[in-house]
Amino acid sequence: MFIRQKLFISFLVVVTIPILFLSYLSLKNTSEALRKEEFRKLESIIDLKLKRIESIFEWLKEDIAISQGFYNIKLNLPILIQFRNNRTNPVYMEATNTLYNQLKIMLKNKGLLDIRLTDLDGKILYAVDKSHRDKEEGRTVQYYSKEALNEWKKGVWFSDIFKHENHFAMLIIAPAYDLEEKITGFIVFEVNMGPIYEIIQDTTGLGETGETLIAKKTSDGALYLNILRHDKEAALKRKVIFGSASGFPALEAVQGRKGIGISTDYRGEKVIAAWRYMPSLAWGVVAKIDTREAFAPIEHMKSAVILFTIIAVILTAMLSFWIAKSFSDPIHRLHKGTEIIGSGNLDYKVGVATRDEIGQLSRSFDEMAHKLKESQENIIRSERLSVIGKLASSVAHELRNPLGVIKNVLYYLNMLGLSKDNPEVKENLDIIAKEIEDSDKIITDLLEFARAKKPALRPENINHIVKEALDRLKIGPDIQVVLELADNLPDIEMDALQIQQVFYNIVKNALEAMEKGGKLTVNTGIRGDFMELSVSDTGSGIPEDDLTKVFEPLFSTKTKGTGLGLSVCASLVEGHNGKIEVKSELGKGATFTVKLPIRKG
Amino acid sequence: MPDKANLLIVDDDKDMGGILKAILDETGEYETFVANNSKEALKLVKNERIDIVLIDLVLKEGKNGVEVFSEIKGIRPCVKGILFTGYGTAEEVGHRAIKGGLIDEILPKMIHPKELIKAIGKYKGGKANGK
Repeated sequence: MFIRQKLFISFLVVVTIPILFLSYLSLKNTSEALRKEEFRKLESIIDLKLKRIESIFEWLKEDIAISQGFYNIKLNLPILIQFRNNRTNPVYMEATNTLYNQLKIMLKNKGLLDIRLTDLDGKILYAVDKSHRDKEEGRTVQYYSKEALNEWKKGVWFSDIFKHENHFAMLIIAPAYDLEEKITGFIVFEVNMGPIYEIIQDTTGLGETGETLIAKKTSDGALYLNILRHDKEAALKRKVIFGSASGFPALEAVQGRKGIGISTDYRGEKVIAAWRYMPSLAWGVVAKIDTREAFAPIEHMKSAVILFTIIAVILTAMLSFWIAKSFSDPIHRLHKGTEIIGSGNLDYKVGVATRDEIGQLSRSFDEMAHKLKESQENIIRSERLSVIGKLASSVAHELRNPLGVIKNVLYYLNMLGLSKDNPEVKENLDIIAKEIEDSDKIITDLLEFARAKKPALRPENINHIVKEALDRLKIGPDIQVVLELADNLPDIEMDALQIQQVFYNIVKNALEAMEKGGKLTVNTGIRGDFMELSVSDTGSGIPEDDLTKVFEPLFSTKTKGTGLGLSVCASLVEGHNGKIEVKSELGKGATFTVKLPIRKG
Repeated sequence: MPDKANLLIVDDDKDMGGILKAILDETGEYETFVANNSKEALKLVKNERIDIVLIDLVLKEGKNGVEVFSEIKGIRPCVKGILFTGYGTAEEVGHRAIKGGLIDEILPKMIHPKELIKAIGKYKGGKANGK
């Protein structure tokens, strides 16, 4: 795996894991809190409703108790029983009138559907509602049975809910007494379930899907008593059977249990539900809401958290990629650079500009390549020098023979007096003689070059060497020589002959560059660990392209140069562990500087 | 002429030998012989009364001038030897020969003929006086 991939994956993992962990935690905590909040809300709703329903039935119980104490009923119910077959009797008429006047007020005030009075056998004697009275008189009251009769005698009794015409109702039955506190019959309240259903079916706080409901235990399950939000026909019709998965909260509630949880309602829909049992009426009460709706905020939050996490991971990935890239790019460049340099291109620069270790490494590498190049060039040059040296030596020797022959022949011809009377012949023979001398100089150069040896080091004074060499050089009057020789220069180790040769060659070049006259400046001095000798001329200068080549053997711009003079200089100076440098401006002159190391101690 | 010195030129370059002979003959002071190799040279030394030998340091046959001259000297101990060399200054072998008293002088090959005649002249006199 590459460094970039490793870094990328590491950064990504390091940053992503906490993000994922935190996202998961926050999601978990928040959904837990939301879930608890939903449960709490449902419980408070169900408990509130339970309280209200219970208080309604408490009031009804109180109302029926009040009616039990009515003097009117105590007095007149026995009359109704006594005259039940003689209804036109004025006493009977008087009794019904009196009852009607009082009970109708109660009926109206308490919102009851009807108040009926029965005898001890449950036979209806009187109903406040006239329409009931005509139909029902003499019939037994609904829910009548022998067992029921005994129940009724015990106190206040609540019936089941039933559907009467278009509304739902239930009966509350309590015994009626005569003036001597003996049971004479029963008072029957027909209660309108409407207001109670209103409370139950109020969906405030229950959203789009929530509801509260009541159910009653049956032999095999639970019967829904009210109109359900999702089933308008459910009241007294819809049932759930024990053991079935749907309607679990209602089944639990009707069995007298109380609880809260996530379960399935009568539709088979997943809901959160709270359930309670109302002992007074034997009702199971359930408050519930679809989890889909209740947990929608959780789902929304989940989506938000997931979205956030994805964005965070993507951003992290981008950042990681960027960081990894910023690390690996320089390394990659370094790698590429080293490969290129390794393949032999020593001019290549890795060039990582960063200030960190990679940048330092890169710079070291560039420096190394530069030094390698220098030493490679040195090796190549010295190899070339050595080959050229051998060649030069052999060529020089071979050339000297024929040249010597020609020279001797020329002399012989003069000896014979061939040119005595013929100036033209003499002129031409002189040309040959001069050319022979020039050629011999070239051969001398070649041999000098070939003979470059190890320097014989001895402490010498550079200024002496310069002065001596200048004395021997015949410098014409058109050249102005300026000496800038530093005083008190120490003697340093050098081969005087070789350094003189170097100086001589450089000055000769300078003079050749100043054919029409100029200024020759010779400067000596100490710079750092080196003693410097520089020679400046005001000649034609060297083109920039040639500056690097002037020290190469066989490089020459002159028609009659061997291209060895400066090359000899370079190899001699290098033999001293020194350096030779050139600076030039075309048309303005050139400066050659020889740097010789000052060895201390 | 009785006072003419006998001079042997040993050079594997025939032209060089030829022209040197021509020049030296022209001076009228020498009887000049030319040998192009050591064999010829030794034969001439045996047959002729050679006074001075002008011998090239570098001979193509493998032996150098100093070696050949030492053989010549073995035949004629009184002979004077001048070593001719193509290099600007004499090679080590030449220097040793001078130090050892074998060779009398080393001359550069590109020496001007006038100088050469002068240099050889020194030995001609000595030889002539000796015999």
